Amino acid sequence: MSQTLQTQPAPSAPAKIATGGVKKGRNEGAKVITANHLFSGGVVYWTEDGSWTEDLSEAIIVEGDAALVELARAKADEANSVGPYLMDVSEQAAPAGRARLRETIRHDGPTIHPQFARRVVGA
Amino acid sequence: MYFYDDIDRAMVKDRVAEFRGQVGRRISGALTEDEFKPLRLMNGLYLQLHAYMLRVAVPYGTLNPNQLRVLASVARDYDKGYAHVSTRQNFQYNWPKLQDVPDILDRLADAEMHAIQTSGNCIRNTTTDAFAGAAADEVEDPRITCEVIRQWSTFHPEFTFLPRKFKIAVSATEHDRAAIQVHDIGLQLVRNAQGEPGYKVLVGGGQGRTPMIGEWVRDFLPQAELLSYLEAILRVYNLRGRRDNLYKARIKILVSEMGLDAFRDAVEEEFAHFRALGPGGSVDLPAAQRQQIAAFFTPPDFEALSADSLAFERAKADDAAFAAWVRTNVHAHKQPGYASATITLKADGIAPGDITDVQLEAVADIAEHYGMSDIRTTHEQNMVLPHVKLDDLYAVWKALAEDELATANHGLISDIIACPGLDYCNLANTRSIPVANRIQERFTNLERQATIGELKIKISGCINACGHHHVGHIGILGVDKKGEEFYQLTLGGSADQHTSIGEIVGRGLSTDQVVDAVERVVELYLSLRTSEDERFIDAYRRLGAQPFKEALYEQAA
Ligand code: SF4
Repeated sequence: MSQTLQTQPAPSAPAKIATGGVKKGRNEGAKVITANHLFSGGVVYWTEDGSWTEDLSEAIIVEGDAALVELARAKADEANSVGPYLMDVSEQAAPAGRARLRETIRHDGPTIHPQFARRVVGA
Repeated sequence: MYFYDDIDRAMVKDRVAEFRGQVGRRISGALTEDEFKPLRLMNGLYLQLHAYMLRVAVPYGTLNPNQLRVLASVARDYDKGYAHVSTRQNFQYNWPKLQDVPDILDRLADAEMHAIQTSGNCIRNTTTDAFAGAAADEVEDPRITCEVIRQWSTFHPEFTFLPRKFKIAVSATEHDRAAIQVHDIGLQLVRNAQGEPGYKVLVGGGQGRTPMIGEWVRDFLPQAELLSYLEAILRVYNLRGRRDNLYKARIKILVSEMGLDAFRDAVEEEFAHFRALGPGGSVDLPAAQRQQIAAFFTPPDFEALSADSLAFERAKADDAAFAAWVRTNVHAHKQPGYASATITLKADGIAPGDITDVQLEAVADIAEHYGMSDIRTTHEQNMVLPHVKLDDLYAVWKALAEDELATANHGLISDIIACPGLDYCNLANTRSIPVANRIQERFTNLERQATIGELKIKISGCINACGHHHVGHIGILGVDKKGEEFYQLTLGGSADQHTSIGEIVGRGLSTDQVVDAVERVVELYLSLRTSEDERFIDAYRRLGAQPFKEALYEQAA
């Protein structure tokens, strides 16, 4: 492996990250790791104990380098998820930032067909 | 319609078994997602915002009642009770689970359906006129050509990894109902001076972020030479098309970068090579085989009927709602005493193109009883019963109405094409379906819609233009502005034989403004049209964009 590849990015330089869809974002602010579940395709969030939950309030909120570390862990869990990425959240763990609407729709279900709204167990 | 032979059956079943193995290996961890993704896409399985999405091919939009019932059973057993007609005349399911997909595909295979080549950079489902076999002025049934293309292009090893996806459409009438001018290849069946059938060939049309109208590369291609010529076009594209930039990879960019003449010369050179390989060329279909395929599309046993039906005329006179539906949704048929009927999947508040399991079964029953067991899907996200006796139309309408399938709005302002948008699609900027629903709500009065007349609204949730907004009389494109939904209006697009790309008429409008803006455009049109016969698109072409621009923006501020 070359030297260049081994060099870690300086912590002060926010890493460019995928934020889902086709958009790119910067790793700044509070994040939750989200993905689709391998079997159902349903929206899931990464928890502190290294598993996935459908309940956003149970997700681990991470920032900065810690977010990238957790993202790497989540990505390693290919057996359960597809395409983990970091999404912006508010302090109350609600979808935030540019992709707020997208993540709100992922969380709640389509805004049409209200009968298909996502029911989070225990929510 | 075409029925599978043993080879088709074995091929499709083998493919399902292969995919079952691939799904199993993904679940066991033997395949990574990076390895699995291209395999699932080759089997029509996408991953969208909330779930997987399975796209089922409906070759040139032709289905029989048994297939509809199987589609209904999949909706019921594996999805949320509905399916969705796409703008490629295919069906989509929005909620299948990964481990169920092999079983779904098995069930579809038993009914001679599959999801092969509904995704990926290959030749996709060839689309055509939903009135094929019924239209009075067609040269021949265009589905014969579509089926020839289907057999040639399915699993074609040379064209499995094209620079980008590739779409072909066929029209057999002067009136283009298949939008052939905005396809990678558009074929129009024509006859030459000697009365021989052949094709006018268009290349390089398309929508997406760079909309282009196709260019004619051949005024007359003899029917027997079709596959050589298509193969020549695809080969030139495959060799020279750009693979360095996703957004410049469609054939339209190649044609415009090479210039039409150079492109045509390159195609003719390849074509000459094929033709030199032997009588009929190396890939052309022998006449006997073409006849075999054509035999699947011999017209059904029409009864010899009078062109007038007393029962039909009486029902129209007695029932104004039926008469209104006839005016919009019933179309002339080549056979006296018959008509074609459009079933619009555009009832208020429903996602355009959605149809429930119960409705699918109702359409299957109606087609079986009254429609010679023939059903079509349309690129405008509707369905068609191509062959119905005038005598039976009233009964058909009543049966459709029982399942809320008899909305009299075909071609009217509420008959909207809308892509799935941000309610489902991973690539979306904005929602499309709620905008369609709000426009439908605003214009809910069918009499008002009928007064407005033909007006095609088409909505896309991003620049990929799956909702065909470029060719909408009024096109609506969703754009993201700092995380907020905005909508860009285009006016004057059209996808018929007079295809035009709509003009952008100004800045984006907020979600709250967009329906009002559409209404202002419509009201202005009503005040400016010369007569009730002057359609919106005609008035727009006569007047140009300016008055509409003014109407749009003076009050939207
Ligand atoms: S136009 Fe964009 S939002 Fe709509 S379906 Fe296509 S990719 Fe998705």
